[in-house]
Amino acid sequence: MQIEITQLNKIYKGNVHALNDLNLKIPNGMFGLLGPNGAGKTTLMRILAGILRPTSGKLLIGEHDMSTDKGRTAVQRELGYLPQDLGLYPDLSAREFLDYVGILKGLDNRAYRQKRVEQLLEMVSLSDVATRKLKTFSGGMKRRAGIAQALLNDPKFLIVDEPTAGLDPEERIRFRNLLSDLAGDRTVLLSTHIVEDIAQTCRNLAMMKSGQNIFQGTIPEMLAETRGKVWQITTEGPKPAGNFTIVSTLPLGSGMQYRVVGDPANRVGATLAEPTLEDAYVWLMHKNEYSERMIAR
Amino acid sequence: MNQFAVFAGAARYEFWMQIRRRALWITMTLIALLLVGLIGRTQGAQDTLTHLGRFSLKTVVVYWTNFISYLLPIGFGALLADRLPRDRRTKVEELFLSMPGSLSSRIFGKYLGAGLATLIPIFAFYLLGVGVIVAETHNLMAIPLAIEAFSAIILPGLFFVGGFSIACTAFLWTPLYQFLFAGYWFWGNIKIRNVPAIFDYIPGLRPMGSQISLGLFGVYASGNPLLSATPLEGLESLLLLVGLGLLAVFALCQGLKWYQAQQ
Repeated sequence: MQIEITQLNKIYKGNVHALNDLNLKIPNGMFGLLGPNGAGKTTLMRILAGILRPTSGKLLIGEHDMSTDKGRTAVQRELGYLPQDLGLYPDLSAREFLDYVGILKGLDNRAYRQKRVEQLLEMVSLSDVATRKLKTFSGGMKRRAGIAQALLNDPKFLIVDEPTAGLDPEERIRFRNLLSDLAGDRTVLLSTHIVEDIAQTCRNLAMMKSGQNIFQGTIPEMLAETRGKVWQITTEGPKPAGNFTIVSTLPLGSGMQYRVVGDPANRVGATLAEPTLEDAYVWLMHKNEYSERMIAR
Repeated sequence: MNQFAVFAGAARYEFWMQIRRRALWITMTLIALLLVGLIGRTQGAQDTLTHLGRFSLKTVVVYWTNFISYLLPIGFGALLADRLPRDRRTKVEELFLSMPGSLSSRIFGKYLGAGLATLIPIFAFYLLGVGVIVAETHNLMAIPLAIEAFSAIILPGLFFVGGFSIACTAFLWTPLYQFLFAGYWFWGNIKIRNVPAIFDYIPGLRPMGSQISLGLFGVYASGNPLLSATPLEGLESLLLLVGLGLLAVFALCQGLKWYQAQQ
């Protein structure tokens, strides 16, 4: 299921522009959406899920036009959505909650619905606690129940918004592996501000800032764009200053080693370094600011 | 997509969630105890209880029905009032809005399911009284008569109260609604000296069912200035209460759809 977003705008009350002429093409498979908090990712997710209406612009999901009620309903039948703030009824058990969601997703055949619920409970390793109330679940277990509900209708399009936020490292790895396994012939849109999650799961990605798409491509393309912008500066003197962002600070025996992204004016003691995805994220987020500062000089 | 299945599913799960609430049983028990206390202090009730044999079975059963309808619907309304805000509080609303099941089917399912669950303790307490009447009068005909009276006098008021309790909390803070609702209950049912009441203008709009009681069963409900009502007026009150309750939920669904489209 391919997604085509053309000049999409979303303006909230108070003239808050959450999306500004956003253009994006999302192919099949895992697709990462990176951006800081407030970049408009969650607004985009909500529009894609049919919860919010865009102010203007065009949005095609598969062959369905999301500006019509018919299109929205058709997409919702094939959609799995795991929102950032996952809502669960605390007094229902995992099995009951999944059954209820199955009903709301249109799985009318009871025997099939129950079979599907059991399959998914097994898949997310919650079978043993299926009768326990959701309010007794840990954050990781709730996330797994969340992904199970998203998959009930075997969706062709899966949206996961900040799925690993608040999880411990082991749960995060487990969750990322689960998402990669799910991709297959689905379109999985993974929205996050955690670079590591994208690096481990997605080949294609886009970056958003202030409601706009500032980069779209593959991870190697993103790294290539950043090559020549990452430096390591070793100094015993004061903290280096200049047209760059310090991404890491490593204390050495007698001095400090700084990893910077940008353009250090004084390159004494500076060596070029191979960029990581985190460096690339910082570069793409700030490259316009660096350019403006260069022009100002 | 089968929207009836969504309605039935929502009703089923809302029923289970509401019936398991400790607050439901505690609130209803407290109100029931208050009612029992009131019986002890109300001369009419004591007379009716101690001289059951002197009154017709219909009078006794309908009197008991009116007594139940006096306070327990306040608990009914208060306990239904948090069902819609709870979806927002627990954040399931966003998840459900991304699903193809229609909002109207879900809301009507919530209304029916949570309403039925809240009705159960009221009905259980009511049956307890009916049991006493059967034991005292040795007349099993009290049971069908009680079911008839309950359906005609109490249920329409609960439809009305339930509809508004679900709908009003979409835009009113729940505790404020519960407070206003309790005030409305007395203002809407009982004449307080010279205070103008809503039923001065719309006589059928007594959610306690006093016009139905008098119109359809010929039994006067205490605390009410209503002196006469024809069967037609009783029926009119019944239909008005049920219709307005359903209308409130329907208006809520349309309002929420409109609001969602404006987001």
